[in-house]
Amino acid sequence: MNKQQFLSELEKYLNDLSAEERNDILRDMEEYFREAKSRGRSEEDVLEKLGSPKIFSETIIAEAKVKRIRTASTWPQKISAGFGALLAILLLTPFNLIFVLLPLLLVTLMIIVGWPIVLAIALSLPVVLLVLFFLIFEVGFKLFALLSLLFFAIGWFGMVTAVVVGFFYVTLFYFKGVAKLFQWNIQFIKNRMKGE
Amino acid sequence: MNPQFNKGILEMCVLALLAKRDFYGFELVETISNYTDISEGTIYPLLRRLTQEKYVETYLQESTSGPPRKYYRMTRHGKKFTQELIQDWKNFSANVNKLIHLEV
Repeated sequence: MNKQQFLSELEKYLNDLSAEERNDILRDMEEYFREAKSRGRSEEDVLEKLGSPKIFSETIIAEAKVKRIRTASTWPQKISAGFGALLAILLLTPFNLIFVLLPLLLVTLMIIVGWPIVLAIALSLPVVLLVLFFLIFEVGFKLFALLSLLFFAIGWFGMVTAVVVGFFYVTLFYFKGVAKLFQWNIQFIKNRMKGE
Repeated sequence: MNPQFNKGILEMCVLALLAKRDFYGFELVETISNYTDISEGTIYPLLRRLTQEKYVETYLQESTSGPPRKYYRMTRHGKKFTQELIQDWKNFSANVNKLIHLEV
């Protein structure tokens, strides 16, 4: 492999990055080769020390994708960035497929299915309150009946709040967990880079 | 050396050098390679990450020989972080040395 092959292969592997980021990296590598040459280092020597462009690009790609999760401003963007990063990292580290992908898939599914259910429960609140309001006229203004309706309303409100807040935290922990997972994986990739 | 052991130390080495003065990429790699046998391909991704985490920032400067070079400069945030890392390292290595020479 020569310098030109290294750069064009690197460019290929960095395809997922923005053009700006990719050109920045290629520019840096050009500079690196140029400086090495001016110090009298041979191209072969530099290439050998740099390692393969594939492995070289792995860490950069994975980190760029994780960064996208952090910088995404809306939740849908965060979620799609999350899946992108997940895919990039899973493909790089095969053992993840067995030990991580299945549990993660289950939890992800739970969250995807869970939110519509939670929203349905939340939407039930005004309906239930409305029904209770009309029940007041139905049962007449008796103290015990009114109190039981009131407590039922409070109870329902409490349940809905608990479910919504609870599931919100579940989702939050899920995203924190996924971010942690990415960090571990990036460490794994880095170590692999050293090993090779 | 054990790769697990290396990666944190490499990060500290890069930061410790940048705390002294600004370096351009090749210069930094060359300096570190003079003292360790770290694979050169690992330093550049590390520099990108340190830049992303705002420990260092970059600027282009004209060089006498050809196109401009990209220099890495430490931020205030990076200085603070580096001081903490170096302090941790000093404590850690002092204790390891004590342990190595421990007579039991």
